[in-house]
Amino acid sequence: MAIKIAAFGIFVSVILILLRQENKSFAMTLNILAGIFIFYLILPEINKILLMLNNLGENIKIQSNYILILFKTIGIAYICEFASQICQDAGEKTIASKISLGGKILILSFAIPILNELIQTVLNL
Amino acid sequence: MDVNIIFQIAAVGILVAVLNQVLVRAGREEQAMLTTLAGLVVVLFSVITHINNLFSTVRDLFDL
Repeated sequence: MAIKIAAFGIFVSVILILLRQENKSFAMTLNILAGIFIFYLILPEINKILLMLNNLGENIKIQSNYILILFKTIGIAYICEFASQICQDAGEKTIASKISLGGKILILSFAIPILNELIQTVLNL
Repeated sequence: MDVNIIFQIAAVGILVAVLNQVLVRAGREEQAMLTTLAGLVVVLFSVITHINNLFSTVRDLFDL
């Protein structure tokens, strides 16, 4: 699987060099498609990891919303990272940094309640 | 979602680029610009559907 991903990545970047001379916007669309295809390659592994995390959470009797927040954070981080790197490849550094800023703010908005609960439990000790 | 889509898009890109050159040599710059634009729109449609699939998969996966 790793070999498939690596070979595919190198192959597409060679095609991209050719395409970029002709037309930059085609190269960008191909770039996005390559990223999506690699994600679909590793999707089964992600599913397995998420299932294991879920089982782990149930065994240790952690409250389910912590695990949910953990998953949301990972999801938001992945999407924002994907979008900001695509924009960076296209040469738009400012948009890329704005997208990652948005992702950080969203993740922070999930993390604040947990921080409150942590401080409450510490104070109640 | 398989490798063919990547090759299709690359093929369309190269085809449009060649068509562009031919039209430019033939002295019709406007048509060249229009064909490039048309090719780009076609490619963008397929990319948008794939981005949509990706984001909905991620949403279901991580319960966003």
